[in-house]
Amino acid sequence: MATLRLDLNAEGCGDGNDHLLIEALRSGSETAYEQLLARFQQPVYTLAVRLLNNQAEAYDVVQEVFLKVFRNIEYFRGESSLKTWIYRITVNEAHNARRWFSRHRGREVELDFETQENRNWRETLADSGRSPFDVALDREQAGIIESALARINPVFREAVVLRDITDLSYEDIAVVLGVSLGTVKSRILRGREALREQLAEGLQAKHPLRLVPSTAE
Amino acid sequence: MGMGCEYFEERLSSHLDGMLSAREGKDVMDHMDVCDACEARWVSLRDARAQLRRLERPLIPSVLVVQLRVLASHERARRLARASFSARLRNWKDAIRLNFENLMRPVALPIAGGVLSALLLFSALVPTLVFRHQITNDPPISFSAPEGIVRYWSNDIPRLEPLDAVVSSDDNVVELTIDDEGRVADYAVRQGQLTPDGVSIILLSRFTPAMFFGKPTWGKTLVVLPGHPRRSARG
Repeated sequence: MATLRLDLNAEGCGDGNDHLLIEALRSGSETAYEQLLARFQQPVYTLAVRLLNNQAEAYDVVQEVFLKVFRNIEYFRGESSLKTWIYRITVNEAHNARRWFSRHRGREVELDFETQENRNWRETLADSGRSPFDVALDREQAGIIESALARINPVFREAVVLRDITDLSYEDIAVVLGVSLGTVKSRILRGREALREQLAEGLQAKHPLRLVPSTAE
Repeated sequence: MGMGCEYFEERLSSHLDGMLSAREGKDVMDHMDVCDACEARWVSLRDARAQLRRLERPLIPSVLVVQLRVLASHERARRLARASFSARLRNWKDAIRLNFENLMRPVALPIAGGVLSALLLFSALVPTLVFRHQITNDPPISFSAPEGIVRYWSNDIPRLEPLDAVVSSDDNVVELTIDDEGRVADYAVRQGQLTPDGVSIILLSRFTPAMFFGKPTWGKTLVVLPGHPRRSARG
């Protein structure tokens, strides 16, 4: 196990040593578990948030995803890359969560996630050195695009998010979604068209842009 | 919108991702030069995509990071425990020991305290405890030597003789230990053998116990019984 760990460290975290990482996971190496988390926890969380448009749900989904990854790693036969396998699990889990929440949402009242979202949002702002106007404009635009993304059909949203936010190739998206390359192309196309329409509608509805800072920073 | 716009509409998205061949890409660009509608569509698609890409990645909450680490640690332990039969056995053993310790730990301190305080209390009270000691059962050592000889003649009452009286080699000599009530507590054959007469004397006789400062006490006595020739002559 010592040599395995050395190899992992020597070659870094690229796709090339997937099988090394998987072998180390199967043998129960501690570093392998850490590496898997270090490599995938942020992308999986981002993907889950964008697919569900809800941080609380994404929180649960990410845990489910990694539980499945750890439990099923021995059944992973390496037909696809580790990355697409994990994203596929994420997409499926998000799909399940959306179905479940669509049935149960409305009965629960969120108490404290509003404030947490605000705080997280503040932390994620890229550049605090810019003028408050730019910051407010960015936030406004981010809010518009987020709500537009949330309104489009989940099937098309999956494809667009995988392409433009997770940055997967068309081939990888086909594997993740389990559909043909042509279907991926058409879903991305229709997703982008829907997004464009939603943005146009949002701009019209919200015109003129309200740039009043909602929270004093 | 001119002829073939639908054809190009379908390719705008792929063109955005650079998925078109060089010739197809050039066709699209050429079309956009002449078709304002398609160009506007292209610009808005490109803007939407740029906005999506600029969207901040929501940072994973630190609480979730910790929870994922805990999850990984649990799953790793689970995997290691299931690796082989011996590992599984060890896991069970560990689990049982852990459960037992968790069960016992709360009572360990009270028990230790209880035992300790009981010991302390006992050692503090021991000097004040008085046990009745029955000294009377102990034969005084100074009187462990025989005091005299009791000689039985065949049809005579026993006679007390001094210690230095002559004892013939035919006689049977038994040393008796007499307790403070005159009963025989022990015997030892000194010479000859134990005859039935001797046994009945040991079992049934009642002696006068030795006196020590006016109190009956243990003592020893030698009993001489006539030997065989005399008995057979009598019989």
